[in-house]
Amino acid sequence: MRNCLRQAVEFRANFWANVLTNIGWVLALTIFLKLIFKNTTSVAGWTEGEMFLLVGTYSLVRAISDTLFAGNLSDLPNQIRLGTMDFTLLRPVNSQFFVSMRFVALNNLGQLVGAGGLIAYGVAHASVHVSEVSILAYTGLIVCAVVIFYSLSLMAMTLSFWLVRVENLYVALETVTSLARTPIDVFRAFGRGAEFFLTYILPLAFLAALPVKALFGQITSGVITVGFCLAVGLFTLAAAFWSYAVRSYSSASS
Amino acid sequence: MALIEVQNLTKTFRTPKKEPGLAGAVKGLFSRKVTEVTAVKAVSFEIAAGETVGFLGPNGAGKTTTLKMLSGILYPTSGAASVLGHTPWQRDTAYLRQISLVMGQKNQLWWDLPAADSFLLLKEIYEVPQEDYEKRLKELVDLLDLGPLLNTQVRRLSLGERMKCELVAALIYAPRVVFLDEPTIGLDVVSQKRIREFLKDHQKNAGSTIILTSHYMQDIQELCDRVVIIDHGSVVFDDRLAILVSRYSDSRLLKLTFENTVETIDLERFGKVMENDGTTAVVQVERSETTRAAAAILSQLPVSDITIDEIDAEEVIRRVFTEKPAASPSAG
Repeated sequence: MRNCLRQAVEFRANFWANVLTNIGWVLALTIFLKLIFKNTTSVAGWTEGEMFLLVGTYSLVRAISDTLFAGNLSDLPNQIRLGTMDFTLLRPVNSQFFVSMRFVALNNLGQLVGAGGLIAYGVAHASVHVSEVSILAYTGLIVCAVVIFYSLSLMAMTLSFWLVRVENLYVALETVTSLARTPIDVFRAFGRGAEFFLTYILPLAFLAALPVKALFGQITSGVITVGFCLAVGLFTLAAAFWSYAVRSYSSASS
Repeated sequence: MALIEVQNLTKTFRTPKKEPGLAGAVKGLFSRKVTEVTAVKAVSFEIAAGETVGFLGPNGAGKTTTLKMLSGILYPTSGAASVLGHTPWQRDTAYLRQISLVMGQKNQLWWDLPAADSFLLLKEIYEVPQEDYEKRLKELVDLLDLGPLLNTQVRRLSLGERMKCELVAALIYAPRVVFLDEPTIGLDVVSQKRIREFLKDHQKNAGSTIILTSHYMQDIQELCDRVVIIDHGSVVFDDRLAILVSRYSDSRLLKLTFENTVETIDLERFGKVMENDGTTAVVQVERSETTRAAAAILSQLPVSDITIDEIDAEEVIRRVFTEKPAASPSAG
């Protein structure tokens, strides 16, 4: 942990550049949403405040992920290609844990603050009553969302044991998951099938939309249970896939 | 029971075969020919606790692959191995805690941070008690003369300095089994010697079991009790170095010092003259003829000193790989 901080601070310029990018990113999102709501009052039933909450929640999930594991996982193909994975496997710690959490990217703290800002703005502008129970449900589903996102990322990146050169894999994953930033109700336009797919099969709905709905008390405890089961199930699947993949690791040269 | 037991260990890599050129690359996108390369073929050996064993073999012989399987990095295609009572590739935490692998061509230290930070991280990972850590670090740093370099970023260190740090990193948690994969590769003669001496010291004090691979004969000669020669994935020899030399070389060297100048022509009737500057000479004679030749030289030439030596081990190894079975004892 301390080493991560040192690693982060080691490149001071990089650290501040990162903070600046995050601020810029939050600003861009705000302007984008403001522009949309200049022209309309709701998107698929979502008001301006709710949209800010949605985008903020998605940013929060991504910020937590980026801090904990995203950077590490996106580096996995490199580790495999160059064979530095050898040292990871050599350590007396769970290899999956080590690969996922090796560096805690503390320079992503700016992103967390930005996400917090978006959420606070959203809550203030969405005229909905937020109860203690719904905050609890929201928090619980955020945890599930991070676990789901982690499991999806790990499974995608684990493919690099066979594909070796897949730098673009993580970018592809990011693009797909950023669908979660749009209100799921939009996809109803494509039929119930699309909504079902995004809720249960590729559970992007759980990454942001459903936690936000939980905050408004708009979903049943059944959906929350589904979210929890999906998180546990996907995590187990990802872990199994990982240990299977490690067996086919072939290292690189001497 | 042996500390390390390996039976019929085999590793086959499946690699896509890429055809050269653009057309080949495009073709490779759709259909790929997969070739199977057997890097290690039914390798078996045993190593007792406290032994230091050298793995010798040309590039691509399978030495590193064997080490990687023994350290749990690679899953074998078939065969069995037991190290410290564990199956390496199950990668039990208890096992990984007791072993260490140094690769001369890769670095495990944190590139952008001083080596000292990497050591601290390893201390945490391997749960080394503070007291042991400090004592061991001091020992290692003194032995390797690393003092002021500990706080320099690893990327600013020279190769030799980095290798020393790698060794500290590998030994800081006092592993019982140490795998060293070409620890002296690319180093200058002085650094090589330094690392060899350090390893000798460590061997004596720590009593760990060591498997060492190297291309430098001197590493093997000075450090190893036993040598395992691997060629094309199979073990072709496994015994003491002296036995290797006597088995694969059918001749010996007589090293002579003369009281007064002796012409090469006078030496040639005893054997093959390898060098002669008039006062000292080296004559190669057949093993079975050694005693007779030595006696004859002593009685006929003004010799002040004579020593009988085995042929240089390096030379022997070269023969093993170039001639292979040719050098059986009956051939001599």
